[in-house]
Amino acid sequence: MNIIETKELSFSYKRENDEKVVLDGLNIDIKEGSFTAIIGHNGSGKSTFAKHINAILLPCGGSITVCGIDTSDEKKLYELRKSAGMVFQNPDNQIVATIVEEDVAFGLENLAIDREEMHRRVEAALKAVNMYEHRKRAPHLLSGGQKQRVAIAGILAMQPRCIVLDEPTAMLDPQGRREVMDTILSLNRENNITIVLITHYMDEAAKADRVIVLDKGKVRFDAPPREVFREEEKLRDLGLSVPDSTALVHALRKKGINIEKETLTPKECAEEILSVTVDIRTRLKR
Amino acid sequence: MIRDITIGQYYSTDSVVHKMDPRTKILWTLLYMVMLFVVDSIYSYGVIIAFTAMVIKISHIPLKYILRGLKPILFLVIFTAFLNLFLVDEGKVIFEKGIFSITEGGLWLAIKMAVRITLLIMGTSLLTLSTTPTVLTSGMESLLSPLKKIGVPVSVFVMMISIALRFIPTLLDETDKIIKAQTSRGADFENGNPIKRIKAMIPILVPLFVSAFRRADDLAVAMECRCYNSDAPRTSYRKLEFGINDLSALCFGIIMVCTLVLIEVVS
Ligand SMILES: Nc1ncnc2c1ncn2[C@@H]1O[C@H](COP(=O)(O)OP(=O)(O)O)[C@@H](O)[C@H]1O
Ligand SMILES: [Mg+2]
Repeated sequence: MNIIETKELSFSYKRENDEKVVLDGLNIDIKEGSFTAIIGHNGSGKSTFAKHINAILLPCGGSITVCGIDTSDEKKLYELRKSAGMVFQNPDNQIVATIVEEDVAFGLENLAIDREEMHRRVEAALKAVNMYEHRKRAPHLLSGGQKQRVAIAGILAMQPRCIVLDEPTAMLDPQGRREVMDTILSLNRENNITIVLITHYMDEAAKADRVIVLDKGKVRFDAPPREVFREEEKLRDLGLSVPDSTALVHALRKKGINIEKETLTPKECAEEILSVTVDIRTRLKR
Repeated sequence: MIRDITIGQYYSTDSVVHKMDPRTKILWTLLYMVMLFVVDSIYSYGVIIAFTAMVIKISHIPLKYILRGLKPILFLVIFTAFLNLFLVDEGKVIFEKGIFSITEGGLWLAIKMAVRITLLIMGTSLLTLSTTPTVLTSGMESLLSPLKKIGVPVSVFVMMISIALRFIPTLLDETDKIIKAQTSRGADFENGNPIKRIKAMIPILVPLFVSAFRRADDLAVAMECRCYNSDAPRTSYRKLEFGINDLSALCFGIIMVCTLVLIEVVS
């Protein structure tokens, strides 16, 4: 079943004289429970697309349906935002309260959930992102990765079916990035929450089931990561790169070393290289 | 210097003062302001200073920490004291030189005003130091809720205050970073005449404002995403409990105001 469906979705920010088209007839369907990564050069319209998913922006042309709700249906606005949560790049600018657990409760307070239920859900959400022991702390004293996990918990407490994350790791150190990615993956696998991850780190995109490449408001590639990253040249033309492990294999191939498989992680890459070298060695021995 | 600002900061201890209902503390702060307004004689000053010292003692907040919060307003205190000292012309003249003269009345008033402002800041910072911003604002909301009936947007007002309190540490950190960045490029904030120094603030204020507006924009979107609607009814994660401690504290406060008024009438 599709949780997000767009039909010829178009959008432009209205300005006085020039009207640049930011989204240009997008047709993107996303399956419930899937993990989709969206990549694209700066200004390609990724954030603009994300903001359409929970009706922060409304389409200028075409339509977008999320969890069966047309986003331009004002009556169902809060139902929509409850089912499709959003996490942003800067963790400082999305934390509202001065105590971790109270921030996680913010969305629930807005939905007028009663207090007992609220305490239950806050506890569950904080445990799911591994921040329960920090529940009494002040958010501004946490690390970037911890703050971002609090932001995820705040969305999670609303029990969404889908979470959209707009470059959630862009301001984090490697440790924080790892924490956030692990959290996202476990939410997808264990809680069956649909994930849409916008990122400019290719190794993060490689962890998704599907990668969508946006360029100038149009979909340029839409396939599993292995197929997308095979097109290294074309991606470079769009100002994008491929994961280091993939790039290494491509470079070796150019040198005439025959590795067939596309590799996405350092581990896969090492295994492939090893198997090839073993091949060469056995041939030499003969 | 930026780090000295303790307005709206919370200092965690588990004292009786910290555990009190925020509504009691807010009302007490108001009573305290009334007291400061009433006091005039040296006796009532004695009473109120002794009382303030006692509350600080039982709150377990180090006096040094509270005094640090006074630093930013030290200038204001000294300035008003000087104005009173030289401009008030009352009673015996104790010092005279040219057009300047200090009278007994002026000296007394200067001391009184300085003590008043100091106590006012100490009293109000005790409120924020002993209460987390969220608890404080839910206390405010509860106290102001009768105004909702006549259409005053209390919840919006309270949300504004709580966000302001939430962003004070963030913006202070940012100011600190900007100051360091500009200093490392050779900006000089310490020397020169006042006009020069005020001019030197511009390269701090401009980036600070730009970033504050960007933050505000981001925050508004993030709040919308989390279903915030200022018109809709909300529930509260925290429950406020008004206990016997609170009742006795308030009674004590009212008795104290009456006593101070009595002292003033008698003397
Ligand atoms: N609020 C806005 N007003 C006007 N133009 C905007 C606004 N936000 C983004 N844009 C423009 O829309 C285009 C796409 O932006 P965005 O969706 O943020 O891209 P991305 O997230 O992929 O970097 C850019 O050219 C940007 O300048
Ligand atoms: Mg963006």
